[in-house]
Amino acid sequence: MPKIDLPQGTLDLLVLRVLSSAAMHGCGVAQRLSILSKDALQLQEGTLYPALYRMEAKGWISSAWAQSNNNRRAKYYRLTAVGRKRLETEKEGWSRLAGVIATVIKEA
Amino acid sequence: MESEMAEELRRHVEELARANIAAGMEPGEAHFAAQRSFGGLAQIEEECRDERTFVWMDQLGSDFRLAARSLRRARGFTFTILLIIALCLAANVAIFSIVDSALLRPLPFHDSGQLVAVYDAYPGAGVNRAGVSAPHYLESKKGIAAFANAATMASSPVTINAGSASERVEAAYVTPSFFPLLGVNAAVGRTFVDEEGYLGRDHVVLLTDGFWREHFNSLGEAIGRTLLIFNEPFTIVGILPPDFHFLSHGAKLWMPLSFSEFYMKLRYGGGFEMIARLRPGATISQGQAEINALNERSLKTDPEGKVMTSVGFHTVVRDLHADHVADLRLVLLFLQAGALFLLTIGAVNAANLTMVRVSGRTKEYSLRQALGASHLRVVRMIVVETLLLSIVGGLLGIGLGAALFRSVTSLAGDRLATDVAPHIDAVVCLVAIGASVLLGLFLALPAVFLSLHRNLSVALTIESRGGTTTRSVHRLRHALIVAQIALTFVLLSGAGLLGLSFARVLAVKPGFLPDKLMTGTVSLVYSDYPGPKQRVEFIERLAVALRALPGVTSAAISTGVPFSGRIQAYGWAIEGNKDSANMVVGQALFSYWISGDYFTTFGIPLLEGRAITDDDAQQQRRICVVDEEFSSRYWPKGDAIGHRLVFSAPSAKGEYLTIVGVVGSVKQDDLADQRAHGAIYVPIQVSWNSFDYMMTLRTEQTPSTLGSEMRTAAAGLAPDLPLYDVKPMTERLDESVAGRRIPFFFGGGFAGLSLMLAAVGIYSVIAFSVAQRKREIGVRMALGAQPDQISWQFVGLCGRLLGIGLPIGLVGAWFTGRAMFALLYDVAPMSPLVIASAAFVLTAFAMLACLIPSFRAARVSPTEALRCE
Repeated sequence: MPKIDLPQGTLDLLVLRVLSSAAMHGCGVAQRLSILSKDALQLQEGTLYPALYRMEAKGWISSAWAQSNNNRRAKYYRLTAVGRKRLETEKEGWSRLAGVIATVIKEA
Repeated sequence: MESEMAEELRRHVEELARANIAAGMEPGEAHFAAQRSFGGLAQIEEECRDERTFVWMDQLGSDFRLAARSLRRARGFTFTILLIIALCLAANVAIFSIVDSALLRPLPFHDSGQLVAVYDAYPGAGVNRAGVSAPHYLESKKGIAAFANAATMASSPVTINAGSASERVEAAYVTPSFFPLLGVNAAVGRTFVDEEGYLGRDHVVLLTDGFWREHFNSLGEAIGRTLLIFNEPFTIVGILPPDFHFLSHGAKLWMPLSFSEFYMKLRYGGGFEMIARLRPGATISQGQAEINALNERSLKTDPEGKVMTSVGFHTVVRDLHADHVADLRLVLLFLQAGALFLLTIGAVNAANLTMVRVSGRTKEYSLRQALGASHLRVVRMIVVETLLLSIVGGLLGIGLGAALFRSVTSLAGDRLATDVAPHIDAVVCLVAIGASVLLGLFLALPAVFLSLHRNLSVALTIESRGGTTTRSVHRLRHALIVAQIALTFVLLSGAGLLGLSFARVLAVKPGFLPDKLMTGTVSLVYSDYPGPKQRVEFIERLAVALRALPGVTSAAISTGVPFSGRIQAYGWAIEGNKDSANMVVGQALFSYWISGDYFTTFGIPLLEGRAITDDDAQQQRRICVVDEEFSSRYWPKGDAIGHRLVFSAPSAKGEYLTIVGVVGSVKQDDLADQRAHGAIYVPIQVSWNSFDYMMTLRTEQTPSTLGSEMRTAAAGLAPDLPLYDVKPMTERLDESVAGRRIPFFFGGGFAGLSLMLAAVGIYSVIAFSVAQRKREIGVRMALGAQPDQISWQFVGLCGRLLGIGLPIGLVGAWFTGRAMFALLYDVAPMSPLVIASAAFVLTAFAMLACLIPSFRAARVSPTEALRCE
């Protein structure tokens, strides 16, 4: 399957969704995205990081270094309260947008 | 050292590679595939950093806009804070620039730290600083190993003749070693060569750039042209660089100094200003020790040696820069301290006002935090706002300070000048901006402290008007006001001490009657009046012409007048006052050569004997008149008349002058000088080679109106004779106290400003207290409390703050008074008058400031106050 280039806003939404269930490191986020999308989504894993750093700067997620499951050091990201609220807002906005577009396409 | 970001990215790639290996790929290929699916590491790292910066800049931008908007809405607050910061910083910028250009910047010469001033002193004869003599200079130049080079200078105005007009110009005579010693080269042409330091070959002149432009600009090439000085031709050999100046000398023409026979024989006297350059590695103390040794050796063989040793003759070697600024240093440091005090007061005041504003916004900050702004974000918002305020205020302050600096230096520049054009350094501006930034951070502190509430629910439900204060905040604000009161009291008492000193100096009786006196100076040229006879004739005719002027009650001519800077103290020996080696013991006396009517013109009382008359001058009688100070010292029983004095210089003709009268003493050049000096008055043409004479006219009219008439009278006798330095006597006295006026002006300004700030601070504290306790007031009034009682409660608060602040201020004032002792005149450091006045003024201002809000409290209507906000 061809790799999909996600617009910036949507990647944020996906990452927030992934982190909403558990804190994880960047690698974990990429894996989870693959799993959740049933492998349809395969992005250049590196592009995750600018998004992660941006969202951290905005205060939607926070990070901390910890020991990973195979006893290696890794940076873990978790959702903040603000981030959680942001996720809700984005989800709502997204479904509304999707609904509108679907309606318009159907009508045409 | 790997950054965390790089580490994080690397680990991800390693993880991908491990997955690939687990899936069966070769390790090499696994890594390669992992890299490919991840993307370029360096590029991603850069993108991550960029993202962070963008967000950060974005937030800063919105913080900035928010701050600007909120400040624009709170106009009163913004204006007050900007005004406070601008004024306090302006004071510091102005003073620091003066300190910088006068004290801190090194002299503009090559390796100026190696330059020293050398001067003689005869403390026993009351002369603490005199120039060196020619023989002394020549011996030092050759014989002091620590000196690589030495030079002397004598400054003296000259008359230049350009066509029919003559002009009086400041000039200096310097030994040919002068310019090479300083490391100064001529901009055009050359400086002097050694041969030109001798009589006969010294008719060359160097022009300053300013003089050249003024007099020669349209004529192009000046080198080689002739300039007539005192009617003698001098060849122009060079033009000095535009920025050249030597300390505060304003000489426009520089000529070689050659020592005449008279000065070569004068071992003690001559008054030449000497400078020297230390050899690399030599120190000032080495130079001093060597000069002391040289003096000791020569005093042993010198016939006048015993006399000189008895008056404590010694030579001082001192760093040139330090020597030049010695007087200024103390005053300037005090002014700088005062300005810093003012800045502290301003900062405290601004902090107080900021706290009021912030405590009105804690609800807003808590809300923001509830909405997800991190503590850091809230702190940053506050800091941005205070920084915006303080930097704008700082820039305004720099502009104001520059203007203040310019006006001060134009008023008193000559006293400060180590620089031709004192200007504000880039350093000063940077320091000022740095100070504004620090101030902004300082102002943010209480706000940050107040806004970081952990317990949001508490903050959000406080019922007071949008804000919250705890007891500790109240206490902090009160403490700040107490600090302001104490600091203001110190400034007030300091200014009061300076002002009282200034007033007392002005009130000193100079010993003569300066009002209604007009003075002017005329200089005769050698070529026209080569002998004493010609000069005496001219003076007689001049006196007649002056006395004939309408409105002139009496007129006198002399070699100088008090406060003109022309009167020197010379050594006189008293006949019969010999020690065992039969040497006469000398005394330095301020020496005047005067015409008749001098004492009546000046209003100096005649105490014994008779005054000097024109007849004495005509008959060239060998007589003199001394002042009371001198006569009471040597002849306390009052029998001075009849004794004889002789001018104490080996080449003097040794004529003895008989004392015929005693007059009252006068202040010679400093109203505040309480040391006793003596003076001697001699008929005008007896044994003195003077070409400069001062005219003094007493009139019933306003003295300045006589200026043009004076000129006409002088011009009538000698058309090309320049008349200059024409001013009323009172102006001379005024100028002599300028050095006290300026510090008082500044000190008073600082004190006034800090009073305003204290008043504003007290007003805001009381007003805020009233606003905070509106409900309580409403309740109490509803329960029957009288409005007066309410008001007085708040006035009482102000009184309590004063009660704590004033004693602290008193302690500060005590220290300040002691430190200022050297600057005071006839004022005790803890002068009760000053302390009481300062306390009174401060209390009055404070009380006035608290009255308005206190009495507003009384007008709170109970029903309105009890209504829930």
